[in-house]
Amino acid sequence: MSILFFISLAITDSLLIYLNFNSNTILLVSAIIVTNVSYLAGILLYRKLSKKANSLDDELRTTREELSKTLKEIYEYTQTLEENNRKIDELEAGNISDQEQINEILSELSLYTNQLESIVNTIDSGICTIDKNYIIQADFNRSFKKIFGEREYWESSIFDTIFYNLDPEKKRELREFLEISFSNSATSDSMINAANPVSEFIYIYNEKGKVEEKHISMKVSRIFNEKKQVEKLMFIFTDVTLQKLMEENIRVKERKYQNELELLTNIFQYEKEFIVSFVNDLNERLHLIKDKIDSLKVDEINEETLKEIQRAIHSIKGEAFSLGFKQLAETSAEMEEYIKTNFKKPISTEQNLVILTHYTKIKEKADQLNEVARKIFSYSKGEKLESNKLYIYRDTYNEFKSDFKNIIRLSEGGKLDRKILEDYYKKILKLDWVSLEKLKEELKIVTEKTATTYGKDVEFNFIYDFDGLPITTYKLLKEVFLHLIRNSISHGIEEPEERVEKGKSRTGKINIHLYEEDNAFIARYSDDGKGLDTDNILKQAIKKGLISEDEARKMDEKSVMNLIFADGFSVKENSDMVSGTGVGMSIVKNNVLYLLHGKLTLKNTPSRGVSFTIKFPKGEQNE
Amino acid sequence: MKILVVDDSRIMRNVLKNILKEKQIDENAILEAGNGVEALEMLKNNEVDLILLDWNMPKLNGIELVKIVRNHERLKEIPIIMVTSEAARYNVMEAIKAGVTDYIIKPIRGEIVHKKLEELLGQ
Repeated sequence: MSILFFISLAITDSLLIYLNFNSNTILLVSAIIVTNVSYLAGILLYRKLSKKANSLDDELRTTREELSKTLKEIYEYTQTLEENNRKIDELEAGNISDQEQINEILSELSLYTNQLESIVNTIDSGICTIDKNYIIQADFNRSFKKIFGEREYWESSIFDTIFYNLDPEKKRELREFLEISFSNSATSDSMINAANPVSEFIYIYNEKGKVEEKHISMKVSRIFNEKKQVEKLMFIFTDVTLQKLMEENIRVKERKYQNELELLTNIFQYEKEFIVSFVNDLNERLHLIKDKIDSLKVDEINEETLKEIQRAIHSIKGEAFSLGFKQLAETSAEMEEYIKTNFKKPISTEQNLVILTHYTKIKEKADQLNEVARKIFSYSKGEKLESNKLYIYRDTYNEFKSDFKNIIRLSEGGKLDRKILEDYYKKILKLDWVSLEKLKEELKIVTEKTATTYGKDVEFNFIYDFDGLPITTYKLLKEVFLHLIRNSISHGIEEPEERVEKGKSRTGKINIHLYEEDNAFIARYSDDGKGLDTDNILKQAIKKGLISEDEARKMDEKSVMNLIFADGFSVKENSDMVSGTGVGMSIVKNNVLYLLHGKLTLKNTPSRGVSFTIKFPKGEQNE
Repeated sequence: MKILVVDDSRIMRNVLKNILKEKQIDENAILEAGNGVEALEMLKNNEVDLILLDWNMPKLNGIELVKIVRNHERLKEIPIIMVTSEAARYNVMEAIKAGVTDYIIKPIRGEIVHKKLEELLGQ
C-alpha cells in the first residue's frame, strides 16, 4: 500500500505544476484530482479490506490491481491535461489564427472538461469550495451530498453546516486556520494541511430518520487568482468510518494474538507442573481480590482491605513477570499502582468502579492464560502429558500459524509493527522443532524395554551434533530407529552368555550418531551383534518366495543384503509382538528413501555387527 | 544562485550542506550562519535565493528572523524553509503566520530536501 501511495504522491507532485496558470475549470478539476489520488487509493483498499477480512490474500491482490488501474487512468488524464494546457497557452498567445482549428481545439477541450467532471462526480470524496466568508459555493460534487446529506448547502457557512457539531474551541481553531490559509498564499499546501485542526472530525449525519456517526477526513487545497492571491479554499472530504473500524478491529485482533502467543511461547518454556501451579495460585488470588473488592466500603477509608488486595496483586505481578507473562504483569502493575495511591483516602463510588475495572482487565488476561494452558495440557481431563507435547498440539499451532500469516499480511497496511509480529511468527515456527534430547530419551526407554523382553543386556549410546529437527522429520526418523533397535536386539545382539563365550563384552552396544554435513543430516546407526547371516537370509527369502534357488546362487553379498529391505521379508520363523512381522525393514527403506528423500547404506561385518548410514537432505524448513 | 543555511549546530549545517551538494549545488553558492543575527548580516551582503532555517537558535531565533525578513522590502520574497523538530500543529500555525514558505521535519532526509528545493527553485 505504501508503495502505491508513493506513486500517487509522485503523480500529485507532477500535477501541482498546473495549479498556477490555467483556465478556472481546468484548474479546479486538476486540483481535485491532485488531492484525491491518494485518498482514492486508501478508500479503495479499505473498502476491499473491510468487505472480507478473512480471505485477505486474494483481496489484497485484486485491490492492488484495481488501484494501479485507477492510478493509471488518472495519470492518463493528467497527460490530457498537460496537452490541453499547451493548447490553451497557444490560443492565448495568439499563435493559432485559423478559426476552424480554434473551434476544433475548443470542442476538444470541452469534451475533456466533461470527462473530467464526470470523474469528479464518480470520485468517492466529497468536494466543495468556500469563499473568504466561509460560504459554500455551488460547485460541490455528488459524493459531497452523499457524505453530508441532501440538505441545501448552497450559500450557507460551513460553521452552520459541515462543522455544526464541532465544539466551540475547535471552531475557533478552525476559524484561525482558515484565516491563515487565505492570507498566506506563499506557504506550501503541505504545510497548510499540517496546521489543519480538523484533519479528522466526526460528523453526525441526520437525515430521513437515519442518524449516523461518520468519521470524516479533510484536506485543504487553495485556488489562486491571477494576482496569486488565494481566491477560494477547496475542501476534500473522505468518509473514513470504515477505515476507522478496520483499524480498530486490527488493533484488537493484534493485541489478542500478541497476548495468546506470548502465553503460548511462555507456557512451552516451562514444565507442566510449574505452569499449573502458577495458574492455580493465580485463580485463587483473583478470587481473594474479588472478595476484597466486594467488601470495600464506599466513602470510607479501607486501608487494610486495600493492602490485602495490593499484596495479592503484587504476587501476581512478580510471578507473571518472572515467568514472562508480560501483559498480565503490566496490567497487574497498573492496578497495584492505583491501589497504592488510594490507601489512605476514602473510596468514592467512582474509584470503586475504577478498581473493579482494573480487576476485570487482569481477570481477562488470566482467563486467556487459563484457556491456553488448558488447551495445551488438557489438565482438566487428567490426561498425562506425553513426553513430546508437540505431537498433540499440532493443530493448535497450525491454527496460530495461519492466523499469524494473515495478521502479517494485514500489517502491510503499515499500521502494525511488522517486526514484532514476525518475531512471534519465528517463535511459533521454532515450536515445530523437537529437540534431539527428546529423541534420545524416547529411544533409550524403548531400548531398555526391548532388551528386558529378550533377556539381553544392551548399552544405548546416542550422540548428536545439532539441536533438533522439524517434527515431521523427527517422526520419520524415530520410526526408522525404532525398527533398527528392535531388529538389533531381537536378531543381532547375542545373549550375555553367548557374547562372553565369543570373547565379547557381556553387554551389547547400540550406537547412534547424528550430525550435519553441508546440506544434509546424517544418522549413523550400529550394533555390535553377530551381524547379518547371509545364508539364513537367502534361505528365508527362498522360503517366502521372494527369490528362486537359482537366483540365490547367483546373488552377490550386496544383493543379499538388499533382501532384508524387501516387503514381507523376515528371518524369523514366527513373528512375535516386537519383531518378525516382515514389514520393519521395508518401513525403514520407505521412510528413508521416499519420505526423507535420503540414502541408506548398510555395512555388515559378520560376527562384529551391522551398521546403517542414513543421509537425508535438510528441507527448506530445516535451514 | 545562493542558498543560506542557518543553524546553530555546525553538524546540522554540514548535513544540510552535503545534501545540497548532492544536488550539484556549488559549495560557493552555500552560505552559512550560526544564528539569526549572523544570518541577517549575510542577507545584507548577498543576494540569497533560498533560506534553510532552524527554529531554535541563540540571539535571534528562526521565527523572529522570518518576521524581520518578511518586513524587509528587498528580502521579503525569499522562500524560507524551516528545518525543525517542532512538528506540533500550533508550531506549524506560528510558522505559517510568520510567513514561512515550507517546512522540513527533523530528522532530515536528503530526498525530502531535494524535493522541496525542486518545488521552490525549479531545476
